[in-house]
Amino acid sequence: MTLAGDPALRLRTDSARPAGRVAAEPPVTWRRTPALTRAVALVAVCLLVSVAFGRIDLVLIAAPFAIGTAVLLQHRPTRVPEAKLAALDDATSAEGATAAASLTVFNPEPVPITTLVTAAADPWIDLHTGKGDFAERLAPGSGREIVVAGRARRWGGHHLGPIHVRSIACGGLLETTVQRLHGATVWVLPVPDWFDSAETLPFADGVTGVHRSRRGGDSGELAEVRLYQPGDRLRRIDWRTSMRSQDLYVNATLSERDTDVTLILDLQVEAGISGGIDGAASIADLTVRAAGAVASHYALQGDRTACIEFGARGRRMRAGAGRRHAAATLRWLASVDMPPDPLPPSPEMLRRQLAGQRSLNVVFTPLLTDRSLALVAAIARAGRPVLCVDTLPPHVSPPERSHWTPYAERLWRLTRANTVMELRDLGVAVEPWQGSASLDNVLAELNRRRYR
Amino acid sequence: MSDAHRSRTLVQALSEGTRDRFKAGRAGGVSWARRVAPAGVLLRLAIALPLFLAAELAVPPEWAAAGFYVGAAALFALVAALLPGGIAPVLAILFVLSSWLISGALKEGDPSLWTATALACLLYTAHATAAVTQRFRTTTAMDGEIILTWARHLGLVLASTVAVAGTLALFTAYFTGLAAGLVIGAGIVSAVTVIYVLARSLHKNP
Repeated sequence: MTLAGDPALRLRTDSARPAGRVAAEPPVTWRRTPALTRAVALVAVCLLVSVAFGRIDLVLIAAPFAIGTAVLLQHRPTRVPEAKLAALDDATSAEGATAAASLTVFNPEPVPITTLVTAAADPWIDLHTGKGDFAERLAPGSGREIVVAGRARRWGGHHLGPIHVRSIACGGLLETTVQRLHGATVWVLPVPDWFDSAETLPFADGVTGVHRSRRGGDSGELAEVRLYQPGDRLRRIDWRTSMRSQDLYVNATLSERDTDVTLILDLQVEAGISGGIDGAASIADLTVRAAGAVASHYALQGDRTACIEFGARGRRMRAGAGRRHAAATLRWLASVDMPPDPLPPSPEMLRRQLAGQRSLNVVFTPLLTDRSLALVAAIARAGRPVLCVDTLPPHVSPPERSHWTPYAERLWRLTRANTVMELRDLGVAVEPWQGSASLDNVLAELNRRRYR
Repeated sequence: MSDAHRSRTLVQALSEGTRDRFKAGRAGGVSWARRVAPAGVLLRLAIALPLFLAAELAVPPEWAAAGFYVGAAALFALVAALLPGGIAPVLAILFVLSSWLISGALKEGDPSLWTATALACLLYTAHATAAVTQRFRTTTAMDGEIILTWARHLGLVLASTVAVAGTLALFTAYFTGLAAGLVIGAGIVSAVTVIYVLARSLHKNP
């Protein structure tokens, strides 16, 4: 049997669409408007009636229509204006900021024209008044850069378009057919919640950084004041203590090191209705914003921060540190997508992607699926430090279906509280996301457990 | 499920649907009020008002005060203002012209030259404004230059019309017999001009 004859290859796909010819965009041309037809028809009717019924006053009524039409059609355009969507170098913006696309319209004719721009946008972009539906006058033989802009209400990739451009000339007697521009995708970066943590991380690694390690070394982190030993640096001598005790004492310090932070984003289930930056947050909103906050904090601090998706797509962001890496992480987080019917991810496969044993794993999860619980428990059982950030928004609750719903919800919340307690028994620090410094308590707990 | 329970569920669903539609309508109204552009609204006013005034001017005062006629004139003017890109403006202008013709036919004596001039100016104002506004929505933000060009053109044409009417009045006063001939001549010249310009516009390379 040949390959072409294989019945499996001839099966229709799920979203089968009849193969039709792609409709080509018709060329843009000038055409007359109903106003021109109206003017000519009125002049003709008035003249006919005036001749037929001897009403010469109708000639006077028709006169301005004839004069006006003749004056307006004196200079007519023949070539159509050219509209092009200009590619913006930095087509990203932040939540709550302005997302924009720029188009250039050039009028090649020696006649002034009016260009009408009508744009549509994603529901998450509120087009500014005067920036989504507006008309501009173009001088003869000139071009103009026109900006279509709106307020981005939620992170993600949003489509700004299609943009319809129509030009009008001769006082509205001639117009072009609509030119459709497909628009552009604008990436809106999440605005992370403010996050700051004064606690050091439990497993300091590397050679330099901000976290106190268990090893001695040169730094400002005081460990103890002890008697001088051969090999100690002279500049470490604590002269005040030495003067008081008549023996040489030195300040011993602990070295400061950086570490790896791996953020695991549980993207299996979405719940709650996102209201954008001004409204209520869904699970995805809370996860992305919290991960953005934690990643920005540690990356700017100098720690190597990596992100892994625990969801249908299973993407991974490489580890890195610094300002550029923090910006790249936000861009990576803006691409987070939760397909409605995802393939379940494998906890085992994710565990294999984790960095060394000494990195801190922060799992952002709403704790709604057994797979997430299995993943968190498996990481904890492997002896890795794991911090679980609960991303279930407090206002999310199941829809009211019957009078049993509140009781069922209460039972479900009790079960969930039990699960959280079981995780804590395993050594997993579970903390709901509350923004700034919300992880300090659990990090301190992890440190205590580490240095005990 | 009992019938009573089913009907209660139906009533609840209907009331929820009505409430949702009301909320959506209110949100849409608020959104429109936030985005509305003054130029678009004023231009629509400049269509409706001249059409209504022309309809009132075209008939004798006793007709103009009749409720039915006022209602019809207002309706035509309003529809023309709301839908300037369609057939509504031409219907409104035809309504005015037919009223003018009928009232002229029923009334004794010749119609006034200056009333006809005022009528012509009002109708052309509505027509030119509808031509400019036909593709603009009430939320379309407009460049001020567009309004300036429209006003300049309108002023030029209305001044020309008044000049034509003044010339006609002058000739009517001194040479009564010439008036009809001159008017018909002017009409024919206008028609030939329009036909010539149209032919040039339709055939780009004659």
